[in-house]
Amino acid sequence: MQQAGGKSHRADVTRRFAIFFIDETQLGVDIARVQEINEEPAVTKVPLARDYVRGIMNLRGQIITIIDLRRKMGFTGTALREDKPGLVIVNWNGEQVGLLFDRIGEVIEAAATDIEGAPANICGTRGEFFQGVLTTGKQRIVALLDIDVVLADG
Amino acid sequence: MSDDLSLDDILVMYVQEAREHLESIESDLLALEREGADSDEESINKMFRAAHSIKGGSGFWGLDTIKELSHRTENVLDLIRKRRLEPAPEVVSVILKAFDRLGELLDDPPASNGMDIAAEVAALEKLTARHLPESEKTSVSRRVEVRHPGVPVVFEMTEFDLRKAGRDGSHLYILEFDLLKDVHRRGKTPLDFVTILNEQGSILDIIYDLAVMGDLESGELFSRFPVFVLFSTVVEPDLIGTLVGLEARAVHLVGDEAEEKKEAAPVQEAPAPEAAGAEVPAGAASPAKEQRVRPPARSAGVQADSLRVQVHVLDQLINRAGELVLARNQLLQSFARWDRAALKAACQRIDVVTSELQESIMLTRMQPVNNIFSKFPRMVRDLAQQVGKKIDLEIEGKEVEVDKAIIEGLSDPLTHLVRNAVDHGIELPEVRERDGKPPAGLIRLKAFHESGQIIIEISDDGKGLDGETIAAKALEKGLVSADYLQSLPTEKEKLNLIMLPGFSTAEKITDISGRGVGMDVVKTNLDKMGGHLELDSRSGRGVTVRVKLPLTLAIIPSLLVSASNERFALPQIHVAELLRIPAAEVREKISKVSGADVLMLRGELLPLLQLNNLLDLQRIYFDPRTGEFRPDRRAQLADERLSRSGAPDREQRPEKGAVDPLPEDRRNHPRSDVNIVVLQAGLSRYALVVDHVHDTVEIVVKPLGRHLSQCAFYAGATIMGDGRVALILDVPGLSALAGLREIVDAGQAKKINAEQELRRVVGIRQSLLLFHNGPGEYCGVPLREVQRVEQIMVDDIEIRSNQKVIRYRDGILPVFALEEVANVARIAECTSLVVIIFEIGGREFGLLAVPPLGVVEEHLAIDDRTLRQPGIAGSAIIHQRTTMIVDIVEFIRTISPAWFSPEQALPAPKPGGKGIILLVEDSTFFRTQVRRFIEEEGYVVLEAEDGRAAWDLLTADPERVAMVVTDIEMPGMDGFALISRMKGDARLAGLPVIVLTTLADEADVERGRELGVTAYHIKLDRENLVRDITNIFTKIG
Repeated sequence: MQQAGGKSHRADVTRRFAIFFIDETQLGVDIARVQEINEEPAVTKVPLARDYVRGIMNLRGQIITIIDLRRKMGFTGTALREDKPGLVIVNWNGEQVGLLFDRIGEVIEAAATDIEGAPANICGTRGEFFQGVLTTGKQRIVALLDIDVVLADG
Repeated sequence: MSDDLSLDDILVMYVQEAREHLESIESDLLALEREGADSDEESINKMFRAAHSIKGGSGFWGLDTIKELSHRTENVLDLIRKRRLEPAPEVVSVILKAFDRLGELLDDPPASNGMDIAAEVAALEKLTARHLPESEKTSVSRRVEVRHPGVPVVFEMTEFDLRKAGRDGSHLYILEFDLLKDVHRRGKTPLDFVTILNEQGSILDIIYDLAVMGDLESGELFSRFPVFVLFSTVVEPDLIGTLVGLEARAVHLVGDEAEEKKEAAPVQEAPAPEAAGAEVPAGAASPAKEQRVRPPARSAGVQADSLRVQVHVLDQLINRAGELVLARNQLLQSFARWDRAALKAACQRIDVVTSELQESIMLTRMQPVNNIFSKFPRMVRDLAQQVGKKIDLEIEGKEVEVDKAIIEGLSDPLTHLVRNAVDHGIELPEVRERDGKPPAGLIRLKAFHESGQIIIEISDDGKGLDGETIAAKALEKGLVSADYLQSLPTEKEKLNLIMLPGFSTAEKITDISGRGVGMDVVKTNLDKMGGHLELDSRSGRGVTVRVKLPLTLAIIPSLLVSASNERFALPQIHVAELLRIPAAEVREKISKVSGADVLMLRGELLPLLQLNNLLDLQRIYFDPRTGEFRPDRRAQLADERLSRSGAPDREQRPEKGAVDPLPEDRRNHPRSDVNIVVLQAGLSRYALVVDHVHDTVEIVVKPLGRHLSQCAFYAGATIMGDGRVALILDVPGLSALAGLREIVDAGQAKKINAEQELRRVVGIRQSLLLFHNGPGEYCGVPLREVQRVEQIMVDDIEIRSNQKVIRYRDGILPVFALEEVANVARIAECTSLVVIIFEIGGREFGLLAVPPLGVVEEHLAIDDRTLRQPGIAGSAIIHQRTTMIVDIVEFIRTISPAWFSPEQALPAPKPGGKGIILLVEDSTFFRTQVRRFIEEEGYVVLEAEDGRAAWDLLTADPERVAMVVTDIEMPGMDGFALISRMKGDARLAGLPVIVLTTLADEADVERGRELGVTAYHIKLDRENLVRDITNIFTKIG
């Protein structure tokens, strides 16, 4: 009945993104979607789950599914580095989901006008996973994740 | 005396107990009404006892109104119990109202004596009087006095009650108790005392003698508190004192009642019985109603917002509180010493204990959903009567526990939904009949857990909802725009419009469900609790409303198990039993059938699944030499484990009765015992092998995220004491994962059950020769077919032109192993073997078998499904072992079809259908077997399930059938009846008849002979049956 929350692209809005790494690729997640950032979760494996499901964990009484983003997004390259994976808890369809990255970066601020359309393919993954691409002053390119698409079942 | 009453603890107990009695009474009464004269005696007794014990206790507190009403109710129930009064709907209505009123009186016991029960009493009295002869009718209201010279008090009761008390050889006593001496000082409560008396007989009345107690205000301690009980029992005078714990002088037998009683003046409050009908008129009830509405002044104390908590939950709570205190002490100590490590440990401990404590406290709030459900049977009944509909209510899952807060919040929405179903859903009986539905509608209430949520379903088989109508109405009421409707195609979404604020489907707002409150209110209420409402309907087929409730509080008792060091929870409700099979017995108890493990459990064959295999976990075993767990490479439990050389290590196989296996052998180490959980979910039953079985725990079910939604074999997850997560296994889902052949179709299951039952009853008394084949494989072959048994050494077997033979008598005998035809294990390699010799089709051959041999003769229930394969007719449980029954004819036919050359085969059926044999047999097993025997001889078989079907077939075309082979014992028309009918019909009289029977009873044989039966055979005596059929056909030419 009401309009589903569409993507707003108004020029005067600045948005903040938390940056995470998979390999050396910088991925940005809208900070509004990030609930918290965790380390070293005690993961319980879920046998026979989809391969991108790392397991489940207890986050203050809630059971959280932990998604191995590398697998979910089909990143090519080596397996998740074992040293210190970063776990980002995001809100998705009223559920909290944990996303595993290789490493956690900082938070950046960007004007909506700085965001450009996403190329068809980033590091071997599908273009629709991204809301766009952000080029920061230091010539860094941050691919902005569309969490809803990334986490879609399947 | 009621003025002096105080709400002491015992009164509270009495009220609670009375309430418990009332709780179940409604459903019992409704059942009584439904079942009428057929109703269960025990449930009537239960109701009677309920009224009785409410009455018994009420006397103690001087609750005369309660006593009076419960007593009258008891009288009516007694009449029903003695089958002197039919529990017709109007009778039940009166009793229901009486119990309702009792409930109201019990809400406020101190005020109860002032409350009006005239209408209820009058209605009950009228029922009591109804069955009495005209002359005695007045006895119901006529009052008499009962007295005894040794007793200072006078009891007063109706003549009817007094008469009733003296019936059936009962004695009437006045018992003199002292509440202080006989009750209080013996550590009893008055309630105990009432209970004891109620066990021995019935309390008619209780009177206190307050005069002797003295005056409280004078400050004098009174030393006596005498109570006089008018008691009726069949116990003899010399025994009664001992039984109730009184001295002889305190027991007074009321002698011949005629002497003791005398007319008492009619009591002024006795109502005029004629004034009130059986149905309490509205006018009579209204003053009472007004009184009910009055806010109960002191009821709060009794009604107290109390909660029932299971003792084990309370224990858990206390334990955890104890742990918390310990942890606090640790914290204080380490703080004093400023020991950082100890501080950290204490903090962690407190963290864990606090969470546990919180969880335990949550548990205390869980209440069965029946607390709401229980009011619906009555509600539906009354509403249905009001609107002239017939409605059955089915309730399922009333034991499902829900948080107290949810129960409270759920009550109104559910009531509304049920009312909706009654009022709008179910049609009037005549409408239903016109639509081809049964006149009585069905409303089903169901509560269950599903993937960690609690689901409550309310479904009806009424007229259903029509999406179009709803959409049109929503538009008409301006709740939605026309554009909106165009953009909303699905039926479900249209149905959901009903939940919009301001929507009501009722044509007129009725008293029952409407009142202007619509589904939107239901939805809002549920939303508040985090619930979710789903509607599903098909026009004309009824409506199903699903209420999904939050899961965070759903708690289920579960068994914790582990496999490959991962913990899993199994819902206790599905756990049938736990087994531990010692490592040394694994081979005996677990066998392999067509490549899958099966467990033999008290004669039942259960599919055996391994949790680690199912979930693709690395299996581990405990190695006692190193004390480590190591990966296990066996594929299946029953598999032969390979020794280092790769050959089966027969040397170490523990033969039955052989020397003890080496203790250091890990396979026989206790840590290698097999732990099995037998699970049951619906019709599927299976055994699950786990590595370890831990505790039973109450777990809080948490839902899994959507990314795990395809894992139907998990019911959710739970958080364990250490904060880690364990998965909860879904028992039906797990069996689906394993692809177990489930008997899903209830109809088929029923059929199979019926057949098994039949087999159990009829069975077949057979003698079997038992032998072994592969390791752990037990086989049997009908002894009748066995010629001889020869013992041979393995070396005696020679190979001649690709055929195993042995020297036998003067020639050679071909021998075969079972594995050559059937999919069974290879015959065990022993040095000495047995050859079982058969003669089939005029030729001899041998079957290789492993000793020891045995013979059994008993009624066998043969399962012709599970293990059926070429050469194996099926399986039966013999000496608690699954034994494969060898079909030796089929075996040899498969292996050597050439033996049965065409010239040896029997005459083929003649063209034109002259060779058709009619086989009449009710058991599918025997019918299939015998049909196969006959067909393999080249005849055409026509089947009939019983005599009736056979008769229809025969009379439809008398020329068609050439011979009848029939069973005797069959439902409907049995074999003898069929044969005598045939003999009475000229067209059929000449047909040859062979009778098959399980037991050749002489009398039966004689009877058959008189009827002209051609031959008699034991079922499954294949050779003889076939021979006779051949002979008969040869004779017919």
